[in-house]
Amino acid sequence: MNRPIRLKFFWQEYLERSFSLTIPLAAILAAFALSGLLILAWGSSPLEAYVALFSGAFGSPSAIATTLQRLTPLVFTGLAVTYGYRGGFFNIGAEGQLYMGAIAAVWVAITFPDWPSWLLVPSCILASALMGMVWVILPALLKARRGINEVLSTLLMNYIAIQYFEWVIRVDHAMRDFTPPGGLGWAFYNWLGLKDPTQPHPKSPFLVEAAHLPTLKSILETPLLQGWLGGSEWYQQLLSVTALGRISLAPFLGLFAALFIYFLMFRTVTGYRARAVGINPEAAKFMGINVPRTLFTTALVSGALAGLAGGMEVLGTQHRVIPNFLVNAGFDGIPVALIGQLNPLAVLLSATFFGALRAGANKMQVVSSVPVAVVYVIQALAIMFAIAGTTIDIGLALRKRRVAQMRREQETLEVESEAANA
Amino acid sequence: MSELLRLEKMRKTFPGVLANDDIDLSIEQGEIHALLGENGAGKTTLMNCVYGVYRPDRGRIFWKGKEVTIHQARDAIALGIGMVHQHFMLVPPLTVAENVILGLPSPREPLLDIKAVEKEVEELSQRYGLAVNPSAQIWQLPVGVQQRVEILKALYRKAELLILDEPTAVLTPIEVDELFAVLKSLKEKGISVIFISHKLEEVMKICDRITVLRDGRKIATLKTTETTPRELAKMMVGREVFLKIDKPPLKPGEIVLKVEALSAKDNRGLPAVRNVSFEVRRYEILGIAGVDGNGQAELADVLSGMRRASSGRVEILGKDVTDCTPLEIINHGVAYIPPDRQHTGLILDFTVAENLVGKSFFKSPLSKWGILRRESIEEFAQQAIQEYGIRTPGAQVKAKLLSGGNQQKVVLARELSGNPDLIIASQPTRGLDVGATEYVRTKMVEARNRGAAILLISTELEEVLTLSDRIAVMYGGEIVGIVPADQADIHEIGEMMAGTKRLVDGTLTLKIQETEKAYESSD
Amino acid sequence: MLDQLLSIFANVEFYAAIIRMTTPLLLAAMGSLLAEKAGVVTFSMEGMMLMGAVGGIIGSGVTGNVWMGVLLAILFGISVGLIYAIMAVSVGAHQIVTSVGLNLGALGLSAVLYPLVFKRGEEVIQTVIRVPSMPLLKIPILGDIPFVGNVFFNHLPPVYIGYLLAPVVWFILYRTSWGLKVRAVGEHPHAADTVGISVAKVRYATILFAGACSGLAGAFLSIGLLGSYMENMTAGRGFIAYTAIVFGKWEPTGVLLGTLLFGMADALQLRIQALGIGIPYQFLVMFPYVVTMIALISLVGKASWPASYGSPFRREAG
Repeated sequence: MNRPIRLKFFWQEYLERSFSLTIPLAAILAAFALSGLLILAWGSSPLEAYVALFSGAFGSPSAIATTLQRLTPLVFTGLAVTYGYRGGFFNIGAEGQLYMGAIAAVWVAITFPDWPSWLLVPSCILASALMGMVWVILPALLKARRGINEVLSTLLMNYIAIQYFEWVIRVDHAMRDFTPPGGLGWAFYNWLGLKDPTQPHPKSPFLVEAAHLPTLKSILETPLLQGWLGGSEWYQQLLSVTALGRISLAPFLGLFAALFIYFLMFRTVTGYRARAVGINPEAAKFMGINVPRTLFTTALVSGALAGLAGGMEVLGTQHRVIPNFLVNAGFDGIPVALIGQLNPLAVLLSATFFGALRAGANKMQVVSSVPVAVVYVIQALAIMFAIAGTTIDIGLALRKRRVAQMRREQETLEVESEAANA
Repeated sequence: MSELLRLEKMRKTFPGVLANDDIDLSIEQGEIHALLGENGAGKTTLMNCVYGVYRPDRGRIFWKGKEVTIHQARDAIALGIGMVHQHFMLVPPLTVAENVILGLPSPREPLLDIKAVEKEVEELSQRYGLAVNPSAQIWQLPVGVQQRVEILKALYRKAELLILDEPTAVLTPIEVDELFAVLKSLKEKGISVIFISHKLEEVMKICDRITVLRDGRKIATLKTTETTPRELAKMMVGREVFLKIDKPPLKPGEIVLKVEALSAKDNRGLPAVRNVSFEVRRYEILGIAGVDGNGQAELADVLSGMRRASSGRVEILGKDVTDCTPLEIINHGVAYIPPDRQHTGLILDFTVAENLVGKSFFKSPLSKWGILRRESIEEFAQQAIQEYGIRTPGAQVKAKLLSGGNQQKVVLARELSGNPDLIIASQPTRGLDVGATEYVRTKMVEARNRGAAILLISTELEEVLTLSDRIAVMYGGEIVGIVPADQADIHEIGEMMAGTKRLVDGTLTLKIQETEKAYESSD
Repeated sequence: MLDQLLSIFANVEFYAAIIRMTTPLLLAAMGSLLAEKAGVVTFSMEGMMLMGAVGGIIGSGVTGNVWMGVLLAILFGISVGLIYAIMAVSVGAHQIVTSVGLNLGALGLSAVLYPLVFKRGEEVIQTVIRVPSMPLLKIPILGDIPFVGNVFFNHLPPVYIGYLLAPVVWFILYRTSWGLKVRAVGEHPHAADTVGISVAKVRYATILFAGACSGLAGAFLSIGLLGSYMENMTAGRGFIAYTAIVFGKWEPTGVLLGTLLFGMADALQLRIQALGIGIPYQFLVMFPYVVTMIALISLVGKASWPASYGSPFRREAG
């Protein structure tokens, strides 16, 4: 008896919470069209450039691998902004939380290099999430307790984080062998220096293999799968695709995170409270919801997601930190979230759009000599059109609703007055 | 005296509401003219049409005998009409003089010669007896002084007609006296005043003529000297049709809510609830009557945990709940129907189902281990939709798409679902049509019949009279009398609401005796 | 190490550098302060500056006249401002999100426009193109005062505009009736509307002014200090200028101090970096942000930003 209800309910819920793809898609198309003019002015064929762009993003396993690498941090920062925004905490500090998360992941990896992979990788991931949270605590407290604008405070925390990052990767990392304190003291000393002393440039050491997120290739090569599938021909073919070695679990964790946030937002008590506070804190208070506590929780979730963006980049893609190692991924989370209609699932799509553009830009430059920066223009135009479209659309919908309500109430009035006359 | 302003056949409709129905009005030079009527009678709408905030559907406006068209506030100001809105249009961090000159060319345009303006304001304030410090910032001033600044703003723009919308609603009694002195001095200087109010006693005290509006229609224009408060009250409230609610007499049960010597402050930090004591029992509805702004809203806030009490004690079923959080109070079995369903009652962007579970979503069976159980929620919602006859395309439709009456039904369904012991209903039928009003009232009586205690706060006297078993009247933050409904005399209550009569003088014992007597007589 | 540090402070050039580093921040922040006071978040300064920088290079390089470069920079800044005003005021879009988009667009567009104009081929893009740049303007008499003259009065022309901008903005805000309108629009747009002030007009005008000033700030970087162009050459100075407004609690004197603080930190960290002594200059850069954070925390109660900050104005439907 439960089954039909479930189906019907799910479908209805999907309709209500589904995202309208019309506006973002129209915005993206318009952005491509307008940027085409710029490419024309450059003296290249827009069509040719866009074909190159697309094939650079999706045209080969290697291209797809690059796209996946580029979109992963955007998924996490996009989710961070989405969850925060929905819960009334506009987190523009994802950039700083991301950097701190990356540092935390590196810290764990070089502090406990002897740990086995099954322990080290989850610890690194956890550390990056926790550090993202830590970096949002102050703005969260200020917002929840004293109502201080979180946009300003998280923005400031960004710069503090970035400068700390700039410093810590320029100070020599104390290799364990010759550092006297040892133990815990040594562990904390790593917060004061992450630079690989053997390198002339500011770079952290490469993380030990055990701290890398498994790649698809390494998963395929596990003895279990090898023994199971080793004989088949397609397995051998699959192994020969070198790009699989560049696809880590990170994008899949991003997918999982999106599903998890969707679930958290719409299917849990926590998410219910967060959304209630985000839409109407006053009404939420009347319902008995503890508004400050909910805001605080929301901010922590948002910070954790942003921290994970840094952690995933370190553990899955770059395996070290260098200056500017993920510039703007935090800020870009804002348009990713907004073009994704603040829906965790649609954020996957908009992050893919952003990631694919960045991944395909190089090929576009090589093939049709159009500068890479054109993709920024495309993205910016898409953002502007999407926001303008959404804002105007909401305005129109409101007007339509008002007219409809007017008509409805007029009708009831007439019915009543007729009844009164009779 | 010559005619300054004449309105002919002014009509204004809003979606579903005929706010002004062919109203004629004539204002003479140098008179104080009251627009008297209940909330929603159309007083403010009419004046907003004159001031250019709204466009009337039809009707003609004559200013000093000549027909004029007023499209926006600027036109009205140019003619010499000034209006002081209920919510002041002052910029808080700016000084008095800056607010006065705002939007006008300064004496030394483009330079802002604030000293010169301050001097002008000073002169103006002396001429009309409106004492203000022109260089003080608005936010530092008490509300009464801010109101004076609004009046000065109009006078500085050479207003000959001043429209004051419920000017005393926000004032303390002393400030009211000061305002009246100002109005008299304006009158002496030949300036006309339209005084929008629903307070009989004030209107009688200050106005020369009174126009009574009811349900968007003009009932009469009378000279103050030729009428009585009693006559005016009848014109204002006197509805022929009372909604009849079937209400069987029941014997009140145990005490559910007990309030002892409760006091609280309003948002400005002024005492709003003063030493209030009463109790509500099972099987009874206690109605609190009173003119808006006499502490009822603050009382409801304190009882629901939204506001702290400054002193006194609140008990629910014998347990002290003074200054508990809203959630703790809800958990004590209290339901609260807030006065403003759009902003505080509902989350309009949530679905109907989400709103319906607003107070129970975190409990079994609607959730388990922190995860919402969709089937249970859907079932719960469907049941509520059926039980309360909520007209909606489905449970997954956003609440903002529902009509006002159906939105209130959602609030009712949410609040009444757990069979609460105490229901605090604040303005539960404000802005609802006849059908929805009747529905809400029926539901409240049903809850009472099942054994809930109900505290009904309403500024609509008729509603209090219809529903209550006992009626308490609040005036100036105090309860000035509690009477059994079947012995209630509408005029006596009206006088208590106006503050001209009180049955108790604030001591607890007297009030309790009164209540006891009430029970004896109701048996 | 200490004498090396002292040598920095002993050098006149250091104090002149503070003024130089402060100027772009001051121009952008002070120019945007009016818009901020009118209730608009000018987070888009970065994009305005960047377009100004590239506009300066293009104008100067194409015409061979540096002042045409300045003119084009201002026009570019105003254009970004116009787009921002349309989005923020007319459409009523979310101002921070719009700003993030605009900044991204300016980053892309400037990086495309530059090679587009100074065509072609990749080698050209790689080599640095020199264009006519602003001449030093030594103020007669004042410039000859020992020490003071070199610190304050021997600079590029926009520096002096920066000197003037702070008192001018203060004067407009607090001594003209137009400034009163700006403040009223920011604090209570609805009240301003009822006395016949066009909220949209005030906001458009102030945003365009912010665009012009930020454009000039960009030109100061490209055809002033450097004489050539680099991709993303503003390097976040627009955000620093925004932070200086927060630091200055939306008051001209405070903003002036804020830009000076950031300018000083910048000048000092560059020198410490150049000396190669082991002082963590990053903390110098971080310092003003920490101070701003403390300022933000201490703001409570007396809200400093305009009451309508960041929210579009719509007249209530009657």
